[in-house]
Amino acid sequence: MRRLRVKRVLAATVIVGLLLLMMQITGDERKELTVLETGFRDGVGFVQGAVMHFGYQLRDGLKRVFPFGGAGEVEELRQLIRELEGEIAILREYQLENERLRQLLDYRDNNAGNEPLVAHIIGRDPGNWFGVVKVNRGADHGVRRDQAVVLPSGLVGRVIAVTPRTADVLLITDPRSRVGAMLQDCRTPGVVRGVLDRSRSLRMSYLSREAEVVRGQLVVTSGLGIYPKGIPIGRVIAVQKDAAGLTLTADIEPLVDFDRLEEVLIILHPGG
Amino acid sequence: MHALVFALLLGLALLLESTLLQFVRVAGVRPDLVLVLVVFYAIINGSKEGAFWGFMGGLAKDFLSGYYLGLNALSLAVIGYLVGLGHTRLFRESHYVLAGVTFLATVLVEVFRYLLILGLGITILPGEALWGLILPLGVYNAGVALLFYRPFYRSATRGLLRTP
Repeated sequence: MRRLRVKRVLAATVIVGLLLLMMQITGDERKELTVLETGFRDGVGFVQGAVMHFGYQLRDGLKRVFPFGGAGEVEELRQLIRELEGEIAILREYQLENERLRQLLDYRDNNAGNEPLVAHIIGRDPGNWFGVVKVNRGADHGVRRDQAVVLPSGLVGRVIAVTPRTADVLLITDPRSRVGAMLQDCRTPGVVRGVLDRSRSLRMSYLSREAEVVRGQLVVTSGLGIYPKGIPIGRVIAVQKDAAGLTLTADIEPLVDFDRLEEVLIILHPGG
Repeated sequence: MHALVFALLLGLALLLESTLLQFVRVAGVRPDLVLVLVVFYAIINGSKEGAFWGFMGGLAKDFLSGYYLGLNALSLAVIGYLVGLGHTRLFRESHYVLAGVTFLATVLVEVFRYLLILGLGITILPGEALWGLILPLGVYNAGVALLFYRPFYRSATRGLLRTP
């Protein structure tokens, strides 16, 4: 009996040890994915894309007006109103999609040198700790690791893994994300990182305590690191001194609405 | 048969977590359906089964996530085992009891994940983790448990999920 228990404890220890080792070697800084992972992701990506498409349609449908009760002519008129409201809702949806795509096209035309590639969001990391989205463009479309991902409104993140037909994008709201940034007015540099608390989402650290940091100031990328210079990130909503009082830390509200991402632009050749 | 049905349920939960559940975010968090299912299964079937299905569900989640393989497998196996200890001790017919157990299990498993994440060199302040994720997720998961435990329990005692 005792021998059996010892064997079980040993087996559990070996399994836990192996899992801890796997965790260490499969972090987000890996240069390449294995063949197995690539195949699995492309296969699952297809299903996720279909489900997400259904989700967008369902959400749009629920936005339409729900019917009310009634009788006779009044009911017919109400029915007509409902149908017209439904049509208006659909047209409004097309209009919004049109506006969104037009903004992306304008941005692409104005930044033709960067060769921005439009990609659709087809999935998200299933957990709550990390902010990673999956897009439907991969190595076959010219996507590479560490390319910047943007929207006309601001910075979204960077590519961290690529398969032939999909890519993973690390959002700037992820706690692992670090972006070289500066305050646009006074050019004071700092580092923007993701925060789990959704009331602020981003925090800019290492700001000089001499800097004049005020609410509403725009924060843009500084060009240090992998992100091209001058991409808007967010606006300052609060400032405080760090614990030692040597530098300032600012809470930043991002310009991109990360809960409503549907399409993004991947910058294939920054400055090209 | 019940194992196949439960595996399919876990698969569906994972697909929802990686797609549609982004539309039902509350306070920045989505419900952890795999964890809720593992808690349900463990309380009805015991520690061994809870640990096994926690491990399998977590491993599938790790593969889908693609990073830090083992993080979810380890944490869900541990919580499946711990919740399973209440199999004979708790009044598992009550969905209120299960909501409480789910809240505690969520807090425990997320604290465990947080410690593993810190061990991997990712810096997240304790206050951020607690108020930004652990507590809101605990409340959300407890709400989900309150809604879905009754049909699950019925199926586990009289339906497709009944163990032979």
